[in-house]
Amino acid sequence: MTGSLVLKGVRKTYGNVVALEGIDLEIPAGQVLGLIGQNGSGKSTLLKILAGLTVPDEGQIVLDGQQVVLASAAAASRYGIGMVHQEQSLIPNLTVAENIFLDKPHPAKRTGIYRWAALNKAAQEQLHKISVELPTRALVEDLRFAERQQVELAKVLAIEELVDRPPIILFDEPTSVLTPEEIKLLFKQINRLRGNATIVFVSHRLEEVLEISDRIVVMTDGRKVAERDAGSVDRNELYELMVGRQRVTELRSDRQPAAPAFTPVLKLEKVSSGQHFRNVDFELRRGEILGVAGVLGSGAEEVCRAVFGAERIDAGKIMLDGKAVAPRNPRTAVRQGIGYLPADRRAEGMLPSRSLFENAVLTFGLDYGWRSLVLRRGKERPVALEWMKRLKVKMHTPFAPISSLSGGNQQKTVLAKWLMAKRLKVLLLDHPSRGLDPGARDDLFAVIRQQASNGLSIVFVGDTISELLELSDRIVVMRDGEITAHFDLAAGAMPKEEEVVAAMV
Amino acid sequence: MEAATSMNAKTDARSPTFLGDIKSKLPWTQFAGPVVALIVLSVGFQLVSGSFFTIDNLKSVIEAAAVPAILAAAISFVVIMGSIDLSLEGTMATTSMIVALLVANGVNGNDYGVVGLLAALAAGLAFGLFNAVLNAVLQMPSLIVTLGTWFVGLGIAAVLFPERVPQINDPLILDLARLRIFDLSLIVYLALGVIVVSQLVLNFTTLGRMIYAIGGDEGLLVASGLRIRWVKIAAFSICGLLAGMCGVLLSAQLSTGNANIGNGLLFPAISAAVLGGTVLTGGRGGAVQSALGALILEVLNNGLIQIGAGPYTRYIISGAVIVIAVAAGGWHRRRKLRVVK
Amino acid sequence: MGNALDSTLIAAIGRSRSGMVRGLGPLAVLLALVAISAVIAPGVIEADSLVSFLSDAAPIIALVIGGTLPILAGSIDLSVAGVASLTGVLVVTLNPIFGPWTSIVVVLIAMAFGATQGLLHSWLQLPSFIVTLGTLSMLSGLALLLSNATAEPIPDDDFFVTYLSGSTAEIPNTVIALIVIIAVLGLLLRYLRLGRDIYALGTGERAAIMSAVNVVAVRTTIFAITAGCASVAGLFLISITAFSSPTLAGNLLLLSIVGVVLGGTAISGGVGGLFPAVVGGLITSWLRIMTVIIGVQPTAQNIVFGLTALVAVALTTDRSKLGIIK
Repeated sequence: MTGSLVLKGVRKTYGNVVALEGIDLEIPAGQVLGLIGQNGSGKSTLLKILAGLTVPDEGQIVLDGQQVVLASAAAASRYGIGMVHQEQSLIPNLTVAENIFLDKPHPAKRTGIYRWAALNKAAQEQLHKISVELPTRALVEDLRFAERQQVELAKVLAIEELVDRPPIILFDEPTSVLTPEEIKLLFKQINRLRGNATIVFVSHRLEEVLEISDRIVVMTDGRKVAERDAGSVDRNELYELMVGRQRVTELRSDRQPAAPAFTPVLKLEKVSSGQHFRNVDFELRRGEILGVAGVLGSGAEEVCRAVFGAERIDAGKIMLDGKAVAPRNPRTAVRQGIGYLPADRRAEGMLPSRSLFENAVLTFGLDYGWRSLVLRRGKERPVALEWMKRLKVKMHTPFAPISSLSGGNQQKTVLAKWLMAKRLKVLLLDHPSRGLDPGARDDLFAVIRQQASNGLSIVFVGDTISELLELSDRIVVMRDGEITAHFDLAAGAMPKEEEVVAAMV
Repeated sequence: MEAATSMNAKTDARSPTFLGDIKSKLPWTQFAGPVVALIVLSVGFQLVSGSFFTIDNLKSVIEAAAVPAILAAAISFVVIMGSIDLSLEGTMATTSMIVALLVANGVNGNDYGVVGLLAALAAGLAFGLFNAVLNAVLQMPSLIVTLGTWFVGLGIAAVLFPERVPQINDPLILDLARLRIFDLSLIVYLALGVIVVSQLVLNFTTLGRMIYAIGGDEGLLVASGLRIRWVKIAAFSICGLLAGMCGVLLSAQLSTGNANIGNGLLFPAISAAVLGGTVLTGGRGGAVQSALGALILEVLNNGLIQIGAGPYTRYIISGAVIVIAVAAGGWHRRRKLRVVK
Repeated sequence: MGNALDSTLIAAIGRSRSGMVRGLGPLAVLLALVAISAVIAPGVIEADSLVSFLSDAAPIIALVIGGTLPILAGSIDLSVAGVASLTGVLVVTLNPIFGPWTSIVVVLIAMAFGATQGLLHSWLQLPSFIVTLGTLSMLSGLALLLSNATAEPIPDDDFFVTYLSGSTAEIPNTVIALIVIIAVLGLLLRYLRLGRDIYALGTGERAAIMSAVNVVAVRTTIFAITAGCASVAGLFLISITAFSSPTLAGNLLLLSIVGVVLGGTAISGGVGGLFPAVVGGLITSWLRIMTVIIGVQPTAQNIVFGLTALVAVALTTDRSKLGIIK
């Protein structure tokens, strides 16, 4: 058995969003396959399917000529497939040794009784496979991220003993939080594994993927658009492929952003927040739409959350209308005139079982009441209804629970909640069009443009480059927590999509 | 969605601390906190009252702490998983009545001896199983399930209660409290045994490690496809069984069956666990730590008596102590967006 | 959407429809229970029996209302029974100081205490069940301490308690007071932000936080109101028995939770309200009568109520919202 993996016609949809459209892929044994693509390209979904974390709607997975069903991570590991996760996937309050053998049987714990000496020794052996020395009795939560990643790698490699085929190791954005030295170490380990294991390496950092992979697969819009040998690839071709069909086909509407005032509405000076982003500087002028481009983990979302008070700020200054502010929590942010439309609308944006009205008036309803004390539904509801009309929310009745609406209409209602503010200065939109069909998206964007023309200043973290190019007056690109590029569209110079992508990866 | 979880990973990662290093080399340091508190309290009371460190007093402290220590160890199994068991008092009431009415007693002609004892223990196990099934299978929050079972247990005990207090006459039960080795009753040794075995289970068996894992990150376990329902069932059952045992032991101490026998013991059991380092959010602590917590509470109680505080004052102080302990323990977990029910 | 539809909707003043529907199920249960009892023992629905029933039910309803608010917002208050019994004791103990106004003062003290609980819970981020379990312990201890564990006759110069012991036009004053309280609370919940925020917290606390709901203020207020209701329940109780008793509220913890759940308020939060609380209180009180009619021993009441509560919770918990159930 060689451990070769073939995917045939794998398709996966989430609701009416197609994440993967009929993927055919061959992953030959012993090679490193690099998977690259933007947000929403489907590469994470593909990896999840391989790891057994989700099952495809259609298609087959063939392992060494036999069709297999990967119903769970435990099932996948029985077939010799394991994933080194981007996020935490170890149990923090258990030791290194326990975590390595948690999901697999081992003689040292076979009878239900743990023989620690034997287990620790076995764990040491697994760690030695990747030339790592770690105290196996240490609790995982006391380790640095790089060390935890090594434990995860050892955990995956421990699958080796259980199957008589070379293990298939999946790496999901492993380098995002590593220092350059740690990345070198990781690559050394991968190189050592090459030939004895099959590796799929997903990363948004093109340079790294090119360095470590034998072959590269580019994914865009849920499709495999190219397969190349890593050695003989043209970067520009790759950028072009990654942009795919997201070109701006329509002309940007001619919108005159308000002339730059003397003081910008929002100004960030060298703002840092832990691991998320460092030294972020930007300005937002009145009536301007500032687009922020960046893949997941680039820090774009976290910047918005930090301005809104939902994320800790370690250093730097935030100034609103020239005055320094320190938004400690969403309430103070709102009081200062900042609003935030979250990326995760289900958990943070809406109250699912409450009515449309209740959702829309939640934050600012009292502003329409009597002396900000007593609610006046007769005053706040017409306003809410008016906004929902302008956003073209399709509903039966505004008393229906918001969960009964489609994603697009839910998002519009949540936006209405923020637009009901009487004195909003800055609105931060975090992936506002995620999960929306094109019609809903256009409605949303129309209202956003209108609000900007009325003087509302908007920060817009976009899902796709075409969106950003369509809506923004200026674009800031972030990668790995820092701003890497700045484009001013209003000055008449529209960047090419490839330029933006280049700054993102 | 994914952004939120990746944030969690990033903010939780930190360099291996000095403390972390020590913790991995010397596992007994997790007992340091409670032991230090114990020493400080004992010395403090001795200084104030002068009569704390007498052999007799120390013996009475240990005797008084025996059953609460078992309860604390019992509830640890559930708390480490991140759940809670409020039904201890109900379980103890029922098993007290069962054992008092089945063994030789002064109310009816039964004389089932060991069988009566086993029946009582089985009842405790049954309570635990009931809790487990409602929580793990029917997916009901343990807080509410065990709140309901608590009162059901009290009700069953009240129904079983005969016209007058059943006096226990069977030496099998009475000897548990009467037999003394080195002038400590059998109950103390049983408590020690239970605590040691519980700790062994928690540290050396798959059941125990999975209990910690569930408390650490149940979501991850579920996502990776591991079966954990059996762990929950076992943990609640053990807790019920041990609570049942405590009902029997308390009856032995009182030499009667009593439908209110466990009243007021739930809260000290939870406090003991928390004081010992078994945090309510789960994933930490252990049987020995919780038992130490029970000892601390008993020392506190005894000391307060020594310095003249009345019974109700002590009640008040214990209530305050637990709130402070939970607050102090959870302080570093405070977050901007944390949702606390 | 046409203009006609707009104006109809804008003119609509009705509450959310789902609220009404949710309240009707348990109401139907209540009516069914009354009907069954009437068949078994017809005397039970005569005017004076009903009046005395309402008098018995008043404290329970007050407790249930108090217990409902925290649960609506996603927390729980286990100390209500303790507040109720301590109230009785304090009315006696503080009488020498405050004279006829003692009971009013006690209610205010209770509300201040409740506010402290809510503050500790929300600001220190402590789980509500442990905070209130702790205060339950403290309050019970305090009640025993202050009264020396003996029941005392209540003073007869206490303005409010005396009022409560009487009736106006055949209706017990406790019922009148209860109606006033319900009306006031109803208005507060409907016309202040508070009501809206409570449901927001119970439905989606993260979303509520991100929508600038003041979690600490809301929770502090709720727990203050809860303690106030529990204290009033205590006053109702002593006006019936004419004695303060530190252990008065013994079984009331279970009854209050049962009442909350039977009325249709979900433990998971965000569902329920004042009307369900009243209905739940009525059902619980009626069940107590029924156990007598049917001949269930009083001692078995706990079993009946415990099991009933479990069944009700099993049916009303919104599991999809809770995610991992601990």
